[in-house]
Amino acid sequence: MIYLDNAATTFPKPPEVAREVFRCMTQYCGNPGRGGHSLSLAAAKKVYECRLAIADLIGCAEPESIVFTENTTHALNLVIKGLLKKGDHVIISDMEHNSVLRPIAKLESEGVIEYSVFPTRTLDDRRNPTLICAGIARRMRKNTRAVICSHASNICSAALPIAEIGAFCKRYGLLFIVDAAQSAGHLPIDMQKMNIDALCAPAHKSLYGPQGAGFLALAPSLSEMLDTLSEGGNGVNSFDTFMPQRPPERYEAGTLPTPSIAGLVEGINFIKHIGITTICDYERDLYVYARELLANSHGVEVYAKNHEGAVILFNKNGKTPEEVAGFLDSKGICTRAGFHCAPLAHKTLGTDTTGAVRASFGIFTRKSDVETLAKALSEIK
Amino acid sequence: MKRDSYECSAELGSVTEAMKAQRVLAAAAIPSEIIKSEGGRHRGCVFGIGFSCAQTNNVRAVLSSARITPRGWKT
Repeated sequence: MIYLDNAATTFPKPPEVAREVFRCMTQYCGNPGRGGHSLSLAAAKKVYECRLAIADLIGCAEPESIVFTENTTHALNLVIKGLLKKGDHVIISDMEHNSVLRPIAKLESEGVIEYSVFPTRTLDDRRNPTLICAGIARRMRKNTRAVICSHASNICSAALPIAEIGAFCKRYGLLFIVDAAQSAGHLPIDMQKMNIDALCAPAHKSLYGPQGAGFLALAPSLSEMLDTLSEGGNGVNSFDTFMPQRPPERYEAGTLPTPSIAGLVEGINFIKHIGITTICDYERDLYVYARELLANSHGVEVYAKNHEGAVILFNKNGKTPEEVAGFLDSKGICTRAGFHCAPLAHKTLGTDTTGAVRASFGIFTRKSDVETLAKALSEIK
Repeated sequence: MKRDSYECSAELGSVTEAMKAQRVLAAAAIPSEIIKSEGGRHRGCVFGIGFSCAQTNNVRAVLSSARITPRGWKT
């Protein structure tokens, strides 16, 4: 089996991740932050260790402002719905995943906010940060509150210049919220240097952790500002009717996914050991090789090929994406066909009527896997 | 169970707050342990840190410089 769907979730996980999940579940997984007994404190210690690891990885000022969530979507919903008030305007990019678009669209449909879409110029060969920021500037209004965008696309290798966008937002007093689902662990991130106010990411993609956990990292500007999305028990001050004022417990109601968080610690250790730059370069080399092989494959069209990263999007003439992905699956090659929960992005790339096939690489993808993909595509008549 | 040498304590709040306090104290080479108390006037359980009473002044200073404000002290 050749797994080329790492943008959906990375697979396999490093053995140490699975080992730590098992170790947690069999040796120390009390309920963190609840009891005062040794197992509860051991679990709490592991959770705190993960907050420290994440904060160090992404340059978050305070590890206590790392809020654990179910996934990136949950984190985005938490910050979007917790932050935005009636009359606010936000600006999102034309490459956004539904995890950004849908909560924004819901708030708009309810008359709470308005939003504008700025062009990422993904298909523009002369694309540069200045032009992208100019596009944001043209859409600013007096009531614009925030810019919300993905760092890296989930359907191609395009990435946004978030350092420049962050600087722009700071200059104009806008909050900057980043969906790092496809970039955390794959591209360098520093929240403080990049002026990011909120960053959302999952455990289970390029951080090589288990599914079931994600996080919302908050800068001091936002850490106590958000309305809560859910309320419930958090282990302290049971007689207080309201959630506490400070993160992370303010935003963490109910039991945390401790085994997933424990596994995430090892995932972060894994990528730190290899180095994000090394991982990024490795995956980019695979992309370049794939692009070269697919370009020579009859009838295959690659989209947004001027961007080099971990994701390649393509179609085969005369076949639907589902037919291609189905054939590849019959050959033991896992890819994803369709619209990838990213209608805006497909519209930007011109694939909104057809959809496309996405192959996405990870640190465990080999060059031979790319060769097998190309060979299989050539067999489709 | 509290160690005999950690007879003094500071009540903080959540376990995360207690772990933050333990971390900053450890950076200042002050040993401590996480404790849980009934909270009493704080209307429910709270987590805190236990430490040697001989370190009380140092603990106060380190927590203050880290902008950690205990809800109560037992010294």
